[in-house]
Amino acid sequence: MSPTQWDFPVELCCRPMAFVTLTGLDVVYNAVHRAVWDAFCANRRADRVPISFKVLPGDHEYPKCRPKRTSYEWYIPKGILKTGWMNKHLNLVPALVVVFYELDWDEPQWKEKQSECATRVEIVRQSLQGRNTKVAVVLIQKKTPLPPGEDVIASERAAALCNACELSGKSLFVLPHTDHLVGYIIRLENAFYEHAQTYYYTEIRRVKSHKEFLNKTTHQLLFVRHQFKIAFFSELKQDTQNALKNYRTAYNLVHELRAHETNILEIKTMAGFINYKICRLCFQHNTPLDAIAQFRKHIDLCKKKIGSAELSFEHAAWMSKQFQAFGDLFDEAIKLGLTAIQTQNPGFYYQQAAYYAQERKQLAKTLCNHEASVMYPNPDPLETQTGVLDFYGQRSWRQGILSFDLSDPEKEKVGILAIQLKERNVVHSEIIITLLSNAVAQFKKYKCPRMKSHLMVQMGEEYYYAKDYTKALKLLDYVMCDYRSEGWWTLLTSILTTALKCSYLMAQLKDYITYSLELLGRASTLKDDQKSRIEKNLINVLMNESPDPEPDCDILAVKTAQKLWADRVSLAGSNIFTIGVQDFVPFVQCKAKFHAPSFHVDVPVQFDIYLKADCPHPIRFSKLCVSFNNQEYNQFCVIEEASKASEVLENLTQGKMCLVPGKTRKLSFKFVAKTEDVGKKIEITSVDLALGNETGRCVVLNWQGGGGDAASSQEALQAARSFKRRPKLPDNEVHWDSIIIQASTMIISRVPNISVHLRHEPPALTNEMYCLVVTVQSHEKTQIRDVKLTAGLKPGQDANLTQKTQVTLHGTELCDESYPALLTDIPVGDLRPGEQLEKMLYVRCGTVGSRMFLVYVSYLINTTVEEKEIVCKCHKFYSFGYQITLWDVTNLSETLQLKTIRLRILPGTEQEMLYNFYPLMAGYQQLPSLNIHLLRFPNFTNQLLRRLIPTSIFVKPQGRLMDDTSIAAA
Amino acid sequence: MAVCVAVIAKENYPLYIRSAPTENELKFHYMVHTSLDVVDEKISAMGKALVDQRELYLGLLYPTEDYKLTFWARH
Repeated sequence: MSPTQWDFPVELCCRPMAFVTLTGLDVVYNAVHRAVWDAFCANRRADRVPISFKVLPGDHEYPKCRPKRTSYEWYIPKGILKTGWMNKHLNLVPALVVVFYELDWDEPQWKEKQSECATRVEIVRQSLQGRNTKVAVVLIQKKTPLPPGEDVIASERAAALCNACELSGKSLFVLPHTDHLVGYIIRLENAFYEHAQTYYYTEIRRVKSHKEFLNKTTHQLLFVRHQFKIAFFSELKQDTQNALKNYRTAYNLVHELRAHETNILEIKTMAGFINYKICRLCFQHNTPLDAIAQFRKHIDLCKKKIGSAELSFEHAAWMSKQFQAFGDLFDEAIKLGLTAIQTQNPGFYYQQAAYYAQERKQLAKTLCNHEASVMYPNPDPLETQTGVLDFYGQRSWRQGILSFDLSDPEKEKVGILAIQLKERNVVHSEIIITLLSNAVAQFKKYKCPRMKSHLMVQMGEEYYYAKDYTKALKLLDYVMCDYRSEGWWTLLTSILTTALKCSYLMAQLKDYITYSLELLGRASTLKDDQKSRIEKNLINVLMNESPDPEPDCDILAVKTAQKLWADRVSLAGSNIFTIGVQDFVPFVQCKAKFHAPSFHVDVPVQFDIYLKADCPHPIRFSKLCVSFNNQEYNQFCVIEEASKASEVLENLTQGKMCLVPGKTRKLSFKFVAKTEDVGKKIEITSVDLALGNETGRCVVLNWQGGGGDAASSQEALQAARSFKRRPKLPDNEVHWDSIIIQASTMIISRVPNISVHLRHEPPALTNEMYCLVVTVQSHEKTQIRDVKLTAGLKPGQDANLTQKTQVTLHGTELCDESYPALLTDIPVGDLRPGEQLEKMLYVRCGTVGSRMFLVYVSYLINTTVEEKEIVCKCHKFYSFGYQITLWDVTNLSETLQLKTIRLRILPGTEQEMLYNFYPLMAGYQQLPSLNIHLLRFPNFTNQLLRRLIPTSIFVKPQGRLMDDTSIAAA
Repeated sequence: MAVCVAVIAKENYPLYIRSAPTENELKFHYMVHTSLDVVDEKISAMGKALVDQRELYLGLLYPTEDYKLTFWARH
C-alpha cells in the first residue's frame, strides 16, 4: 500500500542520526576516494557511531539560514511544526562538513595547495553562513605518517594550514590510504561524531535561548515547536533521556493549546507525532509499561477530539493509525527481546486499529454518499502551491490562518466536499483486513485461540463486504467448527448467516445446502420466520429451482448470483450431494437402536431408526438406507418411496417418509442374520437419509454409526446434569433424549433342545478303564442331523494330565499312551424327535488327583425364520470334575457336576440357585465355584463373586453309632 | 453500570448471557467468548490453588477500549 495521509512521515519514524556531509571525494572516478567512501558507509555494524553520511560536491548549496530574529514581539507563528523541518535536520543541514583534500606533507608545491584547500573551506563556510555547522579538513596522504613529534615539517605545515583555513587543530585530520583504511576511518568518524554532538548541543542551546522572548498569549504554538525541536536535536545528539523528557513536556504543551474545530486536526497530528516519539523511546529504554501508560493517556485525551462532524471519518482514521503505530512499536520491541503476555500484546492494538478502520468505513459510508452528479471541485482545494502543506495537520485551503472563525464558509464547504469525495476512493476493506490479519498473527502467538477466531470472523465478514466471497467463505468455514464445538450457538448462527449469503451469491450448491441444513437445525438461533424462509429456499433448490436471494445482499451481486443459479438449473440433473453430518448440526436428527444386545440366529434381528426434524415445516424424505459392517444386510434395510420431486412438500403429514417438526418418527426394520455371523457382531456403520429426488437435486445426509452429530455429546452432557423433569408423553411416543443409540448387536447360536445325561459308577481308580455312559435325547420337533459327540479331558489343564489320561470308545482294549485324552466329533448319526441314543466311553487315568472332563454334543437342524429356511448348528456343553483315587474303598466319588445355566436377572429381582452337596469326607471340602458370563460385558471378572461366596466348607466328623450303615468318613 | 452478565459452563459453553437491551447482543457474546482465552490461561496457571478454594475472583481480565471484564470462577 502506498503511504496515505494518515501514515506517519518517515522522518518521524526513523532513528535520528547525526548528519555529516563529506565533500571533495570523487567516488565515481577516483578509486582511492571510492575506497574511503565505502569504508564510511558499507557494512556499518551496530557498534559504529550513529552518523548518517552523505557525499556532496564542495560547492553544494546548503539550505539558506533565515536571518536571526531580533525580537519576537510582533511575530505570530502560523502553525506548530513545519512539514520540512525534520527532514531538513536529518538530511539537509549537516552538523559537520568534512573537506577531503589530497595533500602530503612533503608536497613540493605546498603554498599553492595550501591556498587551494583554504579556498575550498571558505566556499563551504560561505554556503553555511549563519549556521553553527562545523567544518573539518581531512588530508588524504600517500605516505604513512611518522609518529607525532618526529616529523618537524609536518607540524609546521599543519599549523600553517590550520591558520590559512581558520581551523582549530582539532578539526584537521590526516588519512593515509594504506592497509589499515578501515581503522583510520573509524578513528575519523569517532572524531566527527564528537564534533556533531557539539553542534547539536549548540543547536539545543540556541532554541532554548528563544524561550525568554516568548509570551504565553501569542506564542503558545512556539512553546510546543521549540520543545519538540529541543527533543529532536537531543535525539540527533543521541541523548535519548533528555529527548524523552522534552517530548513529554512538548506533549503536555500541545494539549494546553486552545483547541477549536479549525485547529483540532493540527493539535491531534502533533500530539500523535509526539506520542509516537515518547512511546518509541520508552520501548527503546526498555520501559514498556511507560510506553503503554503514555499511549493510554494519549488515547484518553484525544478520543473525544473528533473535530468536524462532516469529516468524522478522519478522526477514526487517525485513531486507527495511533493504534496501528503503537502495535508496530510494540512488535518491534518484542523482536528486539521484549517479552509480551497474553493480556498485553500487540494484537490488542492491531485489533483496536481494525475497529477504528471499520468505524471509519461506516462513517465514510454515511458521510460520503454524494450522488454521482456531484463533481470533484475545480480548482482542487486540496492542492497547494508547493504540493505539500507548510505545517503538519493544517487544511490546505486555509494554511497559516489562526482565527477560529471560518473566514470563507464557501471555501470550507468545498474543501470538506473534496475530502469526502477522496475518502470514497479509499479501499477500506483492504486496510481493515490487513490490520485484522496482523492481529490474528499476534493472538496466535499469545495463546488466544478464541480471539483469533473472532478476528477471523471479522476478516471473513470484511471479505464479504469487499465482495470477495471465496475468501470470506474460506475463513468463515474454517472458524465455524470452533464455535460449534464449544456450543456458542448465537455466534455460530451469525457466522452461518454470512456464510449462507456468500454461498448464495456464488451459487455454491453444496455449501448453500449445508449451511441451510444447519441454520434450520436446533443449533440455529434464528427466528422461525427466517427458518421458514430458508426451508422454503432449500426445498426450491431440491426441486431444481433457484432460491430467493438472502436479505441485505448487495443488489449487483444478487443480479450476478441469479444468473449463476439459473445456469446451475439448466445444468442440473442427477445432482447428488452427500453431506456427512458428524461435523455439523443438521436439522434432522437420527438415532439407531437394536432391540437387544444379542439375537439368537433363529430369530429375526430387529432395530429401529428414530428420526426427528427441527425445521419449522414438515419435510418429506425420499429414501433411508442403513449400512452394516456385513454389507449383505444393507439390502434389507432400505425405505424408499417413489415420489416425484414436486412431492417434497405434498401429502406432508401422511406416510412414514414425512417428518413432522418436533415429533419423533420411529422406523422399524428386521432381517434374518446369516448363520456364518453366529458369534460375530453386527454393526450399523452408517445411516443415509435422502432428501429430494435423484431426478432433481438430492441431498444425502450421512450419519456415521448409529447417528449423532456435532452437538450430540454436549447435549448428552447437559441432559445428564439437568434436573428438569420430562413431561409425560402418550404411550406411543418417546422422548428423544431418552433414546440411547445402540448401533451393534451380537448374533448367538440357537438354543439347543436336547438333553444329555451322564451315567457312571464311582469311584474311579487309577488305571481303571472307567466307563461313562452318555445319553443324548432330542426334544426338537424335527429331525436333527449330524449329531456329534466330543468327550474327554477338558483342554487347558496341566500338560501332565493330558499324557496320563486316555479316552476310548472300546472298553475291551487296554489304552496305552498313544490314545488321545479327548475324542472329538464322534459321529453318532441323526435323531428323530424324542429319540435318544447312548454312547459308552472309557477313561483311563494314570495318576491320582482331580481332573476336569467335558462332554460336548453338536447337531444341525433345519428351521424357518421369517419364512426363510436356515440350517442352525446347535451345541450343548457339559464339564465335570473327577477325583481319581488309588483306593478301591469308596471314599470319594464325583465331587461336582457343574452346569451351565442361562438366566436373566432383572433389576430389583433375585435369583436363587440351589445345589446339594454330599460330603463324603470330614474336614475342609472345596465348594464349587460360581462363574458368571455376561454376554454384554465380555470383560466382566468373577473376582468379586469369589470374594462373596464361600469357597470351602468344614465337614464335621459324624459320631459313630452302633447301627450305622452309612459309609464312614475316613 | 453492568451491561452484560454471562454464566459459562466449565466446558466453556454459555449457560446464560444477558446484555442491556440497547446494546448489540452479538458483540457481547463475542466479548465473553474471547475472554475465555484469558480465563483458560488463568485457571490452568492457578491449577491446584484453585481446587483448594471454593470460589475465585479472577479479577479484571483485560481492558477493552470501552468495557471492563471481570470474572469469577466456581467449582
